[in-house]
Amino acid sequence: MFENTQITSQLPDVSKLDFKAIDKKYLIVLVLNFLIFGAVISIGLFFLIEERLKEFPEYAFYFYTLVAIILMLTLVLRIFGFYKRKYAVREHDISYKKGVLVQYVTTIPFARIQHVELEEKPFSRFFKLASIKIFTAGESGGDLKVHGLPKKQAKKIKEFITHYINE
Amino acid sequence: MNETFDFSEFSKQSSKGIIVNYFIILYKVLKSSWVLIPILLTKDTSEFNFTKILLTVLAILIYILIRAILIYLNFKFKIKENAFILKQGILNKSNISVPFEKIQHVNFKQNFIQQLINVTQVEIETAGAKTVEISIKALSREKAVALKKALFAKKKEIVTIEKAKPIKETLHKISVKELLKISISENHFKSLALLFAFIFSGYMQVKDFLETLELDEKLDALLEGNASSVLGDLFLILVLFVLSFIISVIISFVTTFIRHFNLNATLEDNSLEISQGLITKQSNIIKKQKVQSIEVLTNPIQQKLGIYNVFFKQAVSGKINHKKIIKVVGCSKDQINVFKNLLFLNTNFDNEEKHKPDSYYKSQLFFRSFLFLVLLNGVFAIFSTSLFFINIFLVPLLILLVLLKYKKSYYFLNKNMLVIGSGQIGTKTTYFEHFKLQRITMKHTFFQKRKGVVNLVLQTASGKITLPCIRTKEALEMYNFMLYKSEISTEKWM
Repeated sequence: MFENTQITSQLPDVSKLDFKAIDKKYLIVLVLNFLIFGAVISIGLFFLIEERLKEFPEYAFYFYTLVAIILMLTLVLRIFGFYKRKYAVREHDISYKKGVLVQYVTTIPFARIQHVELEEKPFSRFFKLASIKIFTAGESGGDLKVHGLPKKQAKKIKEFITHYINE
Repeated sequence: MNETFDFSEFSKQSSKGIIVNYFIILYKVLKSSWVLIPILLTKDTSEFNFTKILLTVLAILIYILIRAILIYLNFKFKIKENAFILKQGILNKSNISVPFEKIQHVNFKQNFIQQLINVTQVEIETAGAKTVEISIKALSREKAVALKKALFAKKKEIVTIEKAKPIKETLHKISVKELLKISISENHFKSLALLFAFIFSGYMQVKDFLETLELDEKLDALLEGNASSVLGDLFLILVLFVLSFIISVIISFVTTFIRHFNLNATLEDNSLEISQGLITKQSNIIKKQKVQSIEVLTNPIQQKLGIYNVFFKQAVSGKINHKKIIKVVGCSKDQINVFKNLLFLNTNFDNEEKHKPDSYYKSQLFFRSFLFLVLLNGVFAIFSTSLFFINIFLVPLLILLVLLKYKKSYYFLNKNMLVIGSGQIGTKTTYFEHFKLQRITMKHTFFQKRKGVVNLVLQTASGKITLPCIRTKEALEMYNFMLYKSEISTEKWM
């Protein structure tokens, strides 16, 4: 007869996994990305709304402070979020942790992976970083992206998974 | 009488395929150009030259005919080395090769025209990273059956179909009377709410329209005759309510009939075949390995009548495609047990403990309902304060729904499977085998962390299954256990 508890106690435990932080340099990439995002939003808002705001000059100050606060909050969340991004690769699966307000731990068994991609965006390339993208079958919700890995490490993981899938 | 089909050489569709192609293109042309019609109609008619129009239409029709013939001539398929090979395309030639193991299922379909000229459409669906869907528009029934057999048989390019009756065991058949019963007992509240919202928003616009028709005054007189305007609103809402109820019953009648007419579930060689449909006959084969999870739905009325609806959720490629969720209505409990035993290894939950979500789930649901109420009242405040009286009905209803939702959510776990109960008015039971798990996620907000609960999200090839607010220790055990089951499994999961 099957006993659940016995097996459970012997099973590899995700909570005891040694999660590794992603590369420190990725924080710079995140900030740079944010600066571009912030600049685009600010310039866009300025051109869109400046004309209308002239009619209510008394609100303009509040409006811009609000935008600034929202942008600052996003930046703070991103920076905190950076320290929460952690990954772990085991023999048969890959796990990833992230999130500040809502925290996630997720695991994908290698056996269920359809294919793996390595992605290098301009900023990341400059710092010799890469992202790993993992695709499972079916709905796109089953995918996993791990950003900010040292390129060598990312390549190693990719090869490891590809080897596992093709076996 | 036996008929032999050889698929090792390239073969074309039935020549009737030209007709099918013709109507498909015609339909596409009409669909993409119907926007032009009102533009043309609003133009000054004196500018029209009838012979010119006639010639244009004729030219378009001839163009479509030529295209249909060319598509037919360039559409060839064969079977070679355990793969289905298809050549198609007039100018952009494409050559598709689908290995047998990638084929998810083969469906037969007949739309109205195909039924008229007696041909069958064969659809070959595959799952995976790339979306490949092959649809052969017109084959004779015998050839279609032979092709299906050839695709599922291994290393056979020549297939003989015996016209003698195949050994099929009918599991489930539905009569018109039962269909009626099902469509009446369906949950009309959902469609009712939608319709009600639709009509209500429509009413705002109709009101303006009525004003221009000066019918408004008559209506006002009628309503004012009924004393205060609150009563008038109530009266109007009641009328709308009854009206939309009738409409939603009719809609569900019609859709159930169109989709599930002549529903027939048969068992052949351990594979389940389901055919149904009034205008478009559809027949699907459900393969054990492709089914990711099944859902059994019922509501209080249907439960009393012993009616259960079963959804077979299969692996999808790209976005969720509702065609791949196969629905079988009006099953009995015994039939569901047959389905379960057919599809799953171990469906025994007798000795297992029933788990409930943490009571924090209730608080979460109450909080969400409260937010919804606040938002709704905000909207009311903008429109008309007299709408606030709706809260009298809404508040108890929301409380009831939250309590029902909590009461109905539970899960069972045995060594192979997970059973999840959910629902509010209706009841939904999801059956899922651990080894089909593709990705598992534990997720918690700040508040959930403080209470020591997490949401467990199971990702399968056919979508997400969420277990809300489970105590962290339990969730972690499941997380480890299900991952373990998925990783040691050597069975094909899709």
